[in-house]
Amino acid sequence: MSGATVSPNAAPPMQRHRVHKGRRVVPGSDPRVDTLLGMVMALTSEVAVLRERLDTHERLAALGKVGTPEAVDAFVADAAIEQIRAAKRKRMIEKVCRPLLAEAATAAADAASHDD
Amino acid sequence: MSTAQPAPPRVHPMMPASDHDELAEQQFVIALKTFIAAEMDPLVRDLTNAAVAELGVANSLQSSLPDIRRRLEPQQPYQNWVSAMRSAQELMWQAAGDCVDRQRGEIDELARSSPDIGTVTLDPNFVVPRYLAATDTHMMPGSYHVDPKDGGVRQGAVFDKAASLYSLGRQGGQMNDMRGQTVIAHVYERFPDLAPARILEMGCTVGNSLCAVARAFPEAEVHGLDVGAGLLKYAHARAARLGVALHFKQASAEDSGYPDDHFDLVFSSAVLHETSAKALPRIMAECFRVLRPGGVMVHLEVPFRAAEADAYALIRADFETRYNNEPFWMGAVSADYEALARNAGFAEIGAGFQDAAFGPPTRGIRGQFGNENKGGYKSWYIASARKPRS
Repeated sequence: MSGATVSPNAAPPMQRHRVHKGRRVVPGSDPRVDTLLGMVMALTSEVAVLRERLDTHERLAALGKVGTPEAVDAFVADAAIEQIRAAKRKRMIEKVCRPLLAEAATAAADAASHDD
Repeated sequence: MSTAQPAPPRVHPMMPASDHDELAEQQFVIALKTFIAAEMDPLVRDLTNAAVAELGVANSLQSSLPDIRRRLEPQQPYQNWVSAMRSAQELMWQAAGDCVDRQRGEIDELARSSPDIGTVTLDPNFVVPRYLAATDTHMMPGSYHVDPKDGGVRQGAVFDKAASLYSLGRQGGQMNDMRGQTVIAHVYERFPDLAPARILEMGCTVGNSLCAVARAFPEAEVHGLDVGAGLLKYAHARAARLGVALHFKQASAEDSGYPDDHFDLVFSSAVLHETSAKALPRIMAECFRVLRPGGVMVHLEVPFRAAEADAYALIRADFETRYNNEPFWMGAVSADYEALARNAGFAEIGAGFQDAAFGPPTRGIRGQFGNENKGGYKSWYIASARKPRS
């Protein structure tokens, strides 16, 4: 993930550690589920960025401005805009994660029925 | 006797700036962490309480933790919670790393051209303690100590950027200095006579607490040690850009290399839980050695004591231990600091909860240290003591 601008002063490529040492999954769990969940979260993050960039373009257009990379980076969301964006972000996460919550609710209901 | 300091800046020049998309990405991470805390944590709490009910645990929850965990591990909602928590943390490090790497050349140049105040002393032969080398703490790729070739100040910049996200701004925003301010408030309350000429922070990372402490004691010579070269080079530049002269050294808290009877105040801030059961008494002994008679030791830790925790709090702490790569978390929140300090030779030992200080504390305020834990970001656990004067 990167912004629209590429720094003219970017440092030369460097070997970068991308995965932390000592990563482990829950014993007995299917590591593929963990991997897939991580990918879905990362993809959702990309969609969130894309939506916010689109929102900035629309707001610049409403002001009669052209959405150049520089104009997008220079755009500062005020508190009212940030509030709207925060609500959209929250809704998106709730939507993507809803199946996880449903799964948990089912498990809780099962546990409760065992108690009966 | 109010001697409030002038308000320090809330951002600093070395903090990597975020562009439009990076800011959006960081805000997503914060929103995801907030969602997990609000929506998923309660579900795991319910599952934990159900497991406790099934097991019939009446007392000594901590000794039953392995059994509780074994009940949770096969359950998909628990597995999802672990995955979601870890995913949010991994996305945080990726967001911070990408932001820094986009402008790494500029950040290195900003460090190179920082004002010539303070020092940084690196040891090319330094051996990272095994407990830190074994895993990447907090899931940070490369952790505190790994310095890629030509890495410059990268690890420090990434740590600083992510730390301001990690606590969701609740530890002093981008200055991330609330813990340092809390240490100052504790010293004012428990050791009001202390006028330190030399101060040492063990495990200072990017010097966020140390800058606050240096400002509170402007006459003192202020030192910080940590294990990573990139971290310390960044810390030095960060402090210099803030106009604070700090002296950084690559060393271990167990064997700091400073002379005997050298410091008036030695402190650490959320560091002991990154060490080990063997290291803990050694660190106490090292504090005793480097303090002059009458000098003060202060260790700030997370506001959580395992013996008083409910089952869910233990499972949450268990996550830190097993998945957030803080293997000594449970050890640190179970340790008997009063006994450790006593065995090291200290007197005037105190351990309890200090109210969080959200800005530079004022001298003379009492009653902010006691037995009441007001919770995360409201209290910090602190163990402190004095080296006998004779």
